[in-house]
Amino acid sequence: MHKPDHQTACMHMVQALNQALYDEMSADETTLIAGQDIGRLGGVFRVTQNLLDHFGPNRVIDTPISETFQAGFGIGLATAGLRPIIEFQFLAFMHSALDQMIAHASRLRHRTRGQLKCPLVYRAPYGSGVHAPEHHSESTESLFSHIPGLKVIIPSTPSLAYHLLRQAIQSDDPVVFLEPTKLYRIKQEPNQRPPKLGEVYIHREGTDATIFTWGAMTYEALQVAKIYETQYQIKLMVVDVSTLNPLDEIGILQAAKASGRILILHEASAKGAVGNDIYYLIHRHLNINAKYMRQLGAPNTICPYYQNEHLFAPNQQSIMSAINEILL
Amino acid sequence: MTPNPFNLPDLGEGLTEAILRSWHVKAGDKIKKDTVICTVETDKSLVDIPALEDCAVIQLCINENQRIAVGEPLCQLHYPDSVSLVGKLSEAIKSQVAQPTFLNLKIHPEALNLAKSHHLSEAVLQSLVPTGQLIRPADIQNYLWANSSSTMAKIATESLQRPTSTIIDHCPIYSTHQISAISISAIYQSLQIHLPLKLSTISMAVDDQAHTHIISAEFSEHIDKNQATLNDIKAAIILGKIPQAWLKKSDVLISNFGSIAGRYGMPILPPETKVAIGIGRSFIENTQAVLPLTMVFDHSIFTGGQMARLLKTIMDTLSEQSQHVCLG
Repeated sequence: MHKPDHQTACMHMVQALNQALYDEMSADETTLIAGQDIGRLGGVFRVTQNLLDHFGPNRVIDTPISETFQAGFGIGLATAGLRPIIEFQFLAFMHSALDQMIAHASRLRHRTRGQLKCPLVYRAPYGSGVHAPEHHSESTESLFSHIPGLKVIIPSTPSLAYHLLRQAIQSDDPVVFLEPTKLYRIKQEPNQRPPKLGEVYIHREGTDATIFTWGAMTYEALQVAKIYETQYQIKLMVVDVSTLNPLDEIGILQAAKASGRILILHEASAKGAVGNDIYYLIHRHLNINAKYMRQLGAPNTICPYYQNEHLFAPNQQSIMSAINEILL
Repeated sequence: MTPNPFNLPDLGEGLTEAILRSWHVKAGDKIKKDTVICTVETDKSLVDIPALEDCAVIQLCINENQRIAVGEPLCQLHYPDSVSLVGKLSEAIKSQVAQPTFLNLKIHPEALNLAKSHHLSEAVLQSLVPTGQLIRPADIQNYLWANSSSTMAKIATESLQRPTSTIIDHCPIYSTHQISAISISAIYQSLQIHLPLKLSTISMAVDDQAHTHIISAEFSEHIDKNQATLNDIKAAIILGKIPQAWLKKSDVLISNFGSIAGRYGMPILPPETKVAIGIGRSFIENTQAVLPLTMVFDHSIFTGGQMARLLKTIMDTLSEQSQHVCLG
C-alpha cells in the first residue's frame, strides 16, 4: 500500500490502482477482489500486492485458471449485493469470458426490469509497446464498447486511474476497466482536477488542433503537444476520451469545436472501432472539412513481435505527421 | 582491457526492474557469444541473459538476490578489438545538435524547415501573417514565389489570383510547313473578327536556356511576314539581344510550348494578359493530323461563349490556311 499523500505524490499507475483498491475496499465492506494469482503473488503486475494481508482470503480470492468462471463468479456475487472487482491477467484472456459479459452482465438490469443490477468491474492490462507476445498486446476495447450496458473505461495517468477505478467500483452497472500496460511503471505528476466517469478529460488546452485519444496514446499525444508548444508555439488540445462507452458526445463536440482541426488517435486498428464513432460524430455535427480531420491507429493485423513492434502502433513521428497535415 | 557496462535490458511487459537470481560467469572469465551470463527474475518470469558478443568479464556489479533496474549495469565486459561504445555515442549526439529555432514564432514545422532552408529571417516570417496567427507552409511558398526572380514563378502566382478558364480543342491541319507563322496569322485574323483588342498587343512566350521571355513583336495576317518576324526573334534569343521595343505588355499571348504532355498549355495567365493561346505539338488523331490548341482567358472579362467562338474561328482559319500551304 502506498502513502496517504497519494493524491499529490508522483507515483506510477500500478501504485495508484493498488491504492484505489485499498481505499475502496476500506470504505465499502461489500467490495472484494478475485482473479488468478492476485492473492499471495499480488497479480501478474503486482496491482493487488499486499491486499490479501489487509483484507484476508474472504475478500481477496485466488480463482482457478478459468476466465469464464471468473466472469460468471463476478455476476453471481454482484447480483447477490456485493461489489466484486475481477482481474484478468491480460485483455486477450477476457475474450473467453465474452459470453458471460455480453449475454448476462451487460443486460441483467434490462432483462429483470431493474430488479437485479450488476455492479462489478472487470479489470485487465492491455496494449502494445511493451515487447510482449501478441496476446499480451491487444487493443480490443472496441469489442466491449459495442455492447450496450457495459461501461468501458481506460485511464491514462496514475491519478486518473485512481479516481476512475474508484468510480467504476461505485458504479451500479458492469464496467470493463482497461489499464495500459505501457504506462504501468511510468511515474507521473498527479492531475490537478479529478476526472469524472462518463466525461472526457482535457489534459491540455489548445486552440490550434484537438487530439482525441485514450490509454497509452495519451502519453504520446502529451509529449507531442509539449514539443509543438515549445518549438513551434502551436497549442494542441489533448482530450482523453477515457470513457469509451457511453461516449461523452457533448464533451467531444465542445472540444472539437475549439480548434476545428481534429486528430483521433488510438492504438487499436481503426476497423470497426470507437475512433470511427468519434470521427463520425464530429463530422456529422460540426461538418468539419475532411482535410482537417485525421484518424491514426494500428493496421488491422495481429501485433508483431518486438523487433517490428515499432511499426505497429502510432508513435510520436506518425502523430506529428498527422498533426502537420491537419494544420496545413 | 576497456570496461564496457553491460546493462539490464528491457525484458518486456513494461517491467522496469528484476532480481538477479544467479550468476553463471565470474570476473576474469572469457566467454563466447550467447553464453548465459546470469538469470534474472521479473514479476512475470525467470529470464536467462546471454552475451551478445565474444568478450571477457572484468567485474560483476551486483550480488545474487539483489534488485536491479532496467538500464543499470549488471557487469563490466571487455570486447576485444572493439571501439568504445561511449565514444560512438558522443559522436552521434554531436551530429544531432539542434539547429536554432524561431522560439517566438507560431509556425508550422514544415514551414519552419522551409524557412530555414531559404534562410528567411524571423522578421520576414513575422511579416507574413498577422501576429499570433499560425505561419503555414503555403505562406512561405507564396512569399518565395512572389520574391522569386523566375518569370514563370511570378506569372503562376499572379495567375492564381484571377478567375481564369481554359478551353481546349484539336484543330485539323494539312501541313506542318510554316505552321507557327500560319497559326499566328490565323489568330491575328480571328482576333480582328471577335475581340476589340489592339492588334499590336499580341506577344509570344519564348524560352532560352534560363528564362521565358514575353516578346511583343509586330505580327500581321501575312504568313511570310510572320515567319520573318519569328526568325528575327529566334536570332535575337540565340544572340541574347532582345530589343527593348519587344518587351511590352500584351493582351494576347501566344505560346508554342505545350507543357502538358507536350500538347496543352498551362492554365495560367501572365500579368495583364487577357488571353493566352497555347499551340502544342501536332499529332495524328484518327488518321487526321491535328494541332492541339489551349486557350486560357480571364473569365472576368470574357464569357465562355465569346472565347469558344474565337477558338472556332481560329481553328477554321488555321485549318484552311494549312490546306492552302499544302496545295501550294
